[in-house]
Amino acid sequence: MTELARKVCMLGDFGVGKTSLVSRFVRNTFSDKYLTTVGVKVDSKHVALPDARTVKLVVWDIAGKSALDALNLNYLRGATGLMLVADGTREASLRATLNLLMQARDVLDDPAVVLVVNKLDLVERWQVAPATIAELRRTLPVVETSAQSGDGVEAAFAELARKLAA
Amino acid sequence: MGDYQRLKELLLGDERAELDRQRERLAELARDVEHDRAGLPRELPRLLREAQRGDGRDKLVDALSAPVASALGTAVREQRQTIVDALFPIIGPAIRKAIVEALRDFSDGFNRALESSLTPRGLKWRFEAWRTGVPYAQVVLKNTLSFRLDHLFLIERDSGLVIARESAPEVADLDADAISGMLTAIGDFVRDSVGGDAPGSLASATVGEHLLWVVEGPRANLAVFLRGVPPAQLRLVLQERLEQIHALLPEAPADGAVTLPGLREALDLDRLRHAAALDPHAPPKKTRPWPLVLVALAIGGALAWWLVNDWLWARHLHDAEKALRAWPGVHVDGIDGSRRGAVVVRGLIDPLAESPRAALAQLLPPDTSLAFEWRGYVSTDPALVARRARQLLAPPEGVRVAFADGRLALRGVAPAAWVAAARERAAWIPGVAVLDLDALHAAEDPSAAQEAELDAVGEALRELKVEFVRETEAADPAPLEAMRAQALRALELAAMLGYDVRFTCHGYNDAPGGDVLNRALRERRAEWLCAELARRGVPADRLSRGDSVADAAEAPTIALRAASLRLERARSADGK
Ligand SMILES: Nc1nc2c(ncn2[C@@H]2O[C@H](COP(=O)(O)OP(=O)(O)O)[C@@H](O)[C@H]2O)c(=O)[nH]1
Ligand SMILES: [Mg+2]
Repeated sequence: MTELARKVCMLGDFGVGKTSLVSRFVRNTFSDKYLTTVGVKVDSKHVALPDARTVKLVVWDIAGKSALDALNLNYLRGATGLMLVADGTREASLRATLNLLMQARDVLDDPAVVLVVNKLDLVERWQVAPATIAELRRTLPVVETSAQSGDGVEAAFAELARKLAA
Repeated sequence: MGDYQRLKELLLGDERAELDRQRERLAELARDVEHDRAGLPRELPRLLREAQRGDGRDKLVDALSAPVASALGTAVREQRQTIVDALFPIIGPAIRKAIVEALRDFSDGFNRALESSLTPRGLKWRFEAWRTGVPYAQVVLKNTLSFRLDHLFLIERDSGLVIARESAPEVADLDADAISGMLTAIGDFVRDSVGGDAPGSLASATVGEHLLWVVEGPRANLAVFLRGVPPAQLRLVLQERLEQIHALLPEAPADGAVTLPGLREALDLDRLRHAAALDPHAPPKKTRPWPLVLVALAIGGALAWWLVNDWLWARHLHDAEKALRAWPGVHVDGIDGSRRGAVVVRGLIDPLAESPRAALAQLLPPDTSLAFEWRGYVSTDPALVARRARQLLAPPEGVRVAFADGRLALRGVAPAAWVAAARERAAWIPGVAVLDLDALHAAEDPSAAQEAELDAVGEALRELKVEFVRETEAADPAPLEAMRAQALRALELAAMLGYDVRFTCHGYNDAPGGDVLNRALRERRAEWLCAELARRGVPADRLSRGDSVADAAEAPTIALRAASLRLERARSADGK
């Protein structure tokens, strides 16, 4: 049996919760220390697809920056999926994330993308308007999540896995 | 695509529209310039061909050599990867060939340097080299370097995803994808942080005995987790495997893990190990017979000398062991004589036992070092139990201590206090199962002296025997006389003490003769003794013929032509 494996990169501004989302989602193979030392941490997890197949997501978490430099572009090589992460409480983080997507699309050939708007547990403080999210949904799958409570995390990765296996 | 366009507009709006306008204008300008030169590319090949006519070729080469060289230089500097990728299939084997040559030179030198070494290990390896036809230097390398392959990952270069993997069966499983992802990331990280745009990447990392090797190819890398000291050969083998694998890999990027025919074989850990241990490029070595014959003779001589010595040593050890096993109060767990000339004895020793050191030293070669590792224990060896009884009971003169078959017998006369104490203590002596104090008498007892004398008479009778020249012809009448005197004295004492005393006559024979004949002879000798004693005044009703089958414990000690008398006593029925 050949196993389906896909490289997925977490993209998003600093502090939006990428690392927290990954920690929620996978069992940690490496300590988070790698993030600060190497600038990247890789974990993996099997995700069941609706049709009973499974896909292995190999998730690369990149130390957050709002722009991709040469170093980070290297990390994107070979990725077929992108998990964009924005912080609902900071409108600017959404713009930064979409900018990262534009840059990434220069190096990646039509990646599968899911946008996550994180920190749903602080929804009363959200700057990102529901209308904006509705508008974005016409282009991208958008999942509202909370890495803190775990809401939506599985769903976001499941959606990405589904798009990757399609 | 349209969706992304809309996204961009959402983000950039006006700026984007302006940008598009500028881009359009630039394109227009470029189109104008292009137009004039549009014909050139079409004409260029023809022009170049024409330029080579006559001496044109030399001129063209002159003109182009400098710029082509610079272009190549620039390409190597700026697009090194492309060039390396293009040259990879050529460079790999070329470099390997050079390395193999260099290694062979090295191992030849090494060989010569080791040629004269005649240590036992050297000889063993030399024998192995001779037997297998593998150069000696390689046998040395193989034996001095030992390593094991734990994991081998074939990693897609760009994504860091695992295409295939092999792990040794007994090592813990790893999250191969996460690890190879990290490896790729760390490789990139190292290259980015130290190398700038230099080619190459992480090639090896070491933590203690754990070793990571990464062998890079244009589309896939091999990462190997090893332990120990791998031979340099292994890297070449891996490089070769990676080239084979590249030939197998499909052009399209691999879709996660794939199964490729031949891939498993290329990655098989045992094969890799084996391949690394042998140098496939070395031609079989021609063996020179003369040095070999000499070496074989030397080995043969040494072997014979060694075997003889070994055999002698083994015999000494065997003797020593036999002596030790028979030594009273010692229990031997093991004798270690693996190093010739030194013996270590491990075991148990009773504190009352004598040290076997002197006896062993006599059995072993003169300079043998002898060491004991003793732990104390209480021995039930009869000699030790008797010694222990003597030590604990401190018998006064006149008391004899005998121990056999778990029975401790005390005989003689002693002060009543000592007798009482002995009666109490003797049963506690380790190794004593049965206590026989019938023949122990308190000195204060008025009949003690007579009791002791009766015991002594019994003992004396046991010592006496009449020997026969043949049949029932006595050699010497004196023992018969002594027997008679003792028997009569026993009857007197028994009468005083109120015992009922009887005597049994036993006959013995020496070894030759059939069973039936010998049995008859024993009976006749016993009857003869009874008759002789009766004739000399011992009451006939007290004499009887004993069992003709000499009892097993005595037969071997008195296995000769003889007869003897035994005294048996019991309290007489009137119980005086
Ligand atoms: N309240 C809340 N805090 C979050 C959530 N996700 C992340 N954080 C916090 O946001 C901060 C940055 O998170 P981190 O995962 O390091 O962000 P990264 O830089 O994108 O990797 C941390 O203090 C997290 O505890 C969430 O869903 N809710
Ligand atoms: Mg982080």
